[in-house]
Amino acid sequence: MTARGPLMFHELAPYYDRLLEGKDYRSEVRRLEELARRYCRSGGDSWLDVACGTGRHLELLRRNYSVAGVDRSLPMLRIARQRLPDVRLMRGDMRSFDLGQSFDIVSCLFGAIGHLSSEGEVQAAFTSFARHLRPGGLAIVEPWIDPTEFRPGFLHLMRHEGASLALVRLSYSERRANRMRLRAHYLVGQRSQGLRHLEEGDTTLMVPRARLLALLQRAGLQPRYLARGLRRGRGLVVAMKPTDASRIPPRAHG
Amino acid sequence: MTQRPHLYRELAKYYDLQYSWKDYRAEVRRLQEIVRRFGRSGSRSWLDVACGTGKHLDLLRRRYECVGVDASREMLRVARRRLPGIRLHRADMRTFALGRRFDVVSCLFSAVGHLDTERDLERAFSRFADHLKPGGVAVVEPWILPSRAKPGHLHVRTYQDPDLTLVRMAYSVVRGRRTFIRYYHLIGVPGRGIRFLEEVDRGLMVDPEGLKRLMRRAGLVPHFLARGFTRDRGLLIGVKPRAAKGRPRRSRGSP
Repeated sequence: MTARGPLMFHELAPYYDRLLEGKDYRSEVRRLEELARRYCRSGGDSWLDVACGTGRHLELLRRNYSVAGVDRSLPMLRIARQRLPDVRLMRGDMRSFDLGQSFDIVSCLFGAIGHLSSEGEVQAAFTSFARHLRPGGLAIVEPWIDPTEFRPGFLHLMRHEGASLALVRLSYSERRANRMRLRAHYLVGQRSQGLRHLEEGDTTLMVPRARLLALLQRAGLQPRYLARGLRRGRGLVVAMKPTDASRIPPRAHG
Repeated sequence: MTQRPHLYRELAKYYDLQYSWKDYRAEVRRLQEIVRRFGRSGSRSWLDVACGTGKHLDLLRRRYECVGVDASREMLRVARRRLPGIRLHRADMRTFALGRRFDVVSCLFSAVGHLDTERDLERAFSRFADHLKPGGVAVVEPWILPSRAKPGHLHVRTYQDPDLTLVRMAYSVVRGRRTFIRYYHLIGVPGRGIRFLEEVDRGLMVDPEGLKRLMRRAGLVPHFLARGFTRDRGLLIGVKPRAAKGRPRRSRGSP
């Protein structure tokens, strides 16, 4: 993980939701709740979203769950706090956070684990998730792109055009072994203020599906890959924490 | 004229994609109506100044004997591929001299907006006049009218196909009669990456009365049509008198 993380989570955090205005949080949350009903065995209704960002999933989940969020970026949390003033939202690193509380469901969505820089870090994050689950609880991890599904050399365009704000993000990604090297250009236009151009390089980690499952297992969870995830063409991993506490291995690495 | 925009140089090969929304067919139909109304009956020859990639000429050449002029080598390269057999000259619209006259001279899509002063506009209009036969007509699409300027305006255009992504974000500043449009371009090519280009395009806005005055000074009888191709611009027409009044007749030879 880089020192500060991508521009989208910092300087450009105020524009994050507008750039992602096409994202269908409603249908994603419908599917998440369906999975929770099906796989969660701990009986409660507490939900922790790790890398909660601006809180769009939590905003919908809180209708049926008692929710909390963790994110590493202060600018993103600031937006989430405005959106969800009465929700517990904490700054934390997914590899090491410790809320001293356990939940029925821990989710980590939208490929957020791709921002970790090694399998060791992914392992640490999964161990944190497991630690925050009640026996019978459920982790839902929406992985970053699988290396076998990644098509290098492609361009991805996101845009928003409002009366007083225009945003464009054009990214280009290449492959270096199991890492995706991304170059993103942002154009930000503000009415009566002018234009800005920002550019960044970012490297994300693509963990093969089998490795992801193995890492979750090592964290003491029982993982299962589901081809039908939250978004079309994207899979999802659910991982159950055994109800029998004796099966939980000791904390990995610490 | 300031440095020519990227749009006509590095981006020339993408120009037609950037403007794929432009309805050249409708514009050419309207141009022909205008020529029938203001021009010589049986007009045959047509000079398009700032012809760019030649999309107007490509439609006009079915009915007219066409010639084009443009200042950009890169734009002419595209036009030459489109219009084999059509004479295309590289020249500046303020100074070109082709040594012949036409029934119609057009200068479209606000190419004259790139001229920096009224003096330059007048020089261009004089060139148009000198390349017209008596009774011939000049059709000029001016730059945005001062009354229609939108300072602080933002505009984004994107084009995407499997081989290319183009993004252009524009921001307009108005100072007096000048527009300064800042363009940020992103050009993305799969397998190659993304390029960023930035430019400021200066433009001079002149109101319809001012445009007509400049036309008159160039020796043409002006008309201004409020309904042009683009809502904020209109069209300026200049008709060359059949018998030059008050101006010494030029020698018959070259214009």
